[in-house]
Amino acid sequence: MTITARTKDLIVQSIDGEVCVYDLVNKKCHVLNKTSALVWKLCDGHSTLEEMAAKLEQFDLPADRDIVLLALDQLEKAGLLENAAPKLALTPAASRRSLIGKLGAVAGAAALLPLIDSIAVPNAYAQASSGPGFSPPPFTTPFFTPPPFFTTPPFFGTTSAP
Amino acid sequence: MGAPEDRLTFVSHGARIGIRVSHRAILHRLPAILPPGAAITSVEPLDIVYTLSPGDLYRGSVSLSSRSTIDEALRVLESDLHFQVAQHARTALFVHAGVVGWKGGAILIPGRSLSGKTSLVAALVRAGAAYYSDEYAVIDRQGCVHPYAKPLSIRDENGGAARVPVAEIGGRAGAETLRPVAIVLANYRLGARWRPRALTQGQALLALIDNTVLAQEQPELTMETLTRVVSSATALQGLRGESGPTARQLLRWLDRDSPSQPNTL
Repeated sequence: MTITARTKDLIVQSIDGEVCVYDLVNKKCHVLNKTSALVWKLCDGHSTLEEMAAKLEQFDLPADRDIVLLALDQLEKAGLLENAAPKLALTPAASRRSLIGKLGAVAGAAALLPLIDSIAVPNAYAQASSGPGFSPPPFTTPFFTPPPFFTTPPFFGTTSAP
Repeated sequence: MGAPEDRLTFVSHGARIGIRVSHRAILHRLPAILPPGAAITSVEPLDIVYTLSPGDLYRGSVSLSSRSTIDEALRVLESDLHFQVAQHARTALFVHAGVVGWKGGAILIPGRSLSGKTSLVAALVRAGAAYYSDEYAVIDRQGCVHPYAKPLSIRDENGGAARVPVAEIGGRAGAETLRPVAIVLANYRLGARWRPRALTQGQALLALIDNTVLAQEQPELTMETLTRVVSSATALQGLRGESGPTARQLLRWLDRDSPSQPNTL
């Protein structure tokens, strides 16, 4: 089974070993930890699960196929794999919790397990203040009646004046 | 055409805004409510035009306030101006965050309304930090923070809020551009003790994006600018109790333990 990372309509930024991905289509942002970022990078359409697992050793993780499967499951849920990627059925043994148990003896392994933090990018009105005098996002007045002094033409060079 | 005296136009962080008024007497009250750093100047075309009369306030054709007193309309206008500047700024990115300056570095406190930003900012200012903003971190492309020292919006027990100049709480406004040294995500909980955990730079970036006004509209600028911010700052997240003790703890930590080196530009 080979898998390809999605590259279209993404802004990708590496930060101190992590990778931040802005998904322009789904308006989401994801932060991939080092392991998730490595697996995502290895989704080149050629590498097999076993080859990906072998590369985990650079992070002092065992070459465990389940760790790769966990990363792929998270990447797929985040929409960072090509649509053509086969559906990944995680075995029960590949949950994050079970992997922590399985790798308990490996120092710091839990922190190195694949992890993706995600947010929906807010729109501008989500940032509106509710400070003094704030009115919620306004509605266009349905039956707009101009105040009397609007009877003269707008004197601003804009089309947005009433 | 109306007389030029019946309007005021200004530029703030590249946003070009006009306010036209029905009575000249109102015009004289406008400079006091303009956003920090606004330069009154003749400029066209405009991004936004407000129309203000004693009873009504419109942004374009949108009614913001009707049948209100002029004082109420001015309060609504002032609040809306801040947000419109944030939306139309061309020279900086606006992140919903409180900001103070401390020994040459900026402390950013991102958060939405009612997250306790203003009370923590006020406590930091009372503890000696310079006031930059209780609402927006204004960040240039280099990732540096500029002052946006509007009056603090300090809430009372009834849910109302008063505009309080920083001098009234014994503080001073900062003037220099600062490099961020700390990003503090601190939600208030009664009785909580400030025991923050460190965030990775990626997690800090997500927290800032989550509070950036134009994060959807300007994704490239947002990513580029905020990556610079998180690369120079240490990020902490936790629950906090009262703002005074948290502020003093934060400043002690910055003085002693922060790995970041404050840097005035």
